[in-house]
Amino acid sequence: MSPDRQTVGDDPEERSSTHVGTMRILDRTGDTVVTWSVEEAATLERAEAVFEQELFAKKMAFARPEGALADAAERIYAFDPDAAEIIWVRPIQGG
Amino acid sequence: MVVATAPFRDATFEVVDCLEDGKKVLCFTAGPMAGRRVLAFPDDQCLPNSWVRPLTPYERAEQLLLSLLTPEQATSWLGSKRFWVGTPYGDLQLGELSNMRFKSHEGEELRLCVVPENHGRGLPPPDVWVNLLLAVNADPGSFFRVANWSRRKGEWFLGPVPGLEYQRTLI
Repeated sequence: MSPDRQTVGDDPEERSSTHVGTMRILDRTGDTVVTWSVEEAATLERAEAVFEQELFAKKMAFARPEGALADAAERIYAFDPDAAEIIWVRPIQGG
Repeated sequence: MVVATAPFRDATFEVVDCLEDGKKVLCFTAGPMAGRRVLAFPDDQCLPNSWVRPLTPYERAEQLLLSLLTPEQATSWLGSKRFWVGTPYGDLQLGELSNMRFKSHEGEELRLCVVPENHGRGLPPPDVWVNLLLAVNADPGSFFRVANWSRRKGEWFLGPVPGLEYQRTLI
């Protein structure tokens, strides 16, 4: 690809520096979304705070690469700023 | 001429003026907008899909669920609101709350009941299945330990589901 055709995101370094992550917290609205950018400290701090809050509520966090299926979702126990998507679900119990 | 889009359904109007730039001044003659004049833009000056209806909670939840499913599972969900998931202990069908079908590798069929905590407080149904799908994928041992179970037409028993060799688990 010629330099003049290069688009944002082609350069791996540029892609990582502009990474935007999404956190989905399942709730009565379907889910509440929290996004962050590693370049914007305020959004990062907010996302970390939300992560801690949900963890304290004993919910379970799963991270998945963009567009990945459930099999690729991985349980995480600490905030990962490089995660593409984090999905928060509730603990399970016998019904 | 009738405009079919809400809130103009069943409304009629007449063209009052045609402007040079292609716009038209319309006057509604019947319907909820009767007597009002509006400026109408030609199609080529309108943004396509400039307004998109917000998804309902069910639709948002279903969108997330479908994004997690294989094509076969998604087709099954869209057709019957149920789909099968493979586990180390056998095949589990998600979609019928409090009455999930489970076929063990040994050929026994049971009904299981596992729910997200407080699920009754408002999670749209597809979110319940997102919750249980991720939970059973990540830690099937814990899932089958907490599951209440029943043989096909029998009474219900507290978990764990019998006859399964549980591994150490994390949840």
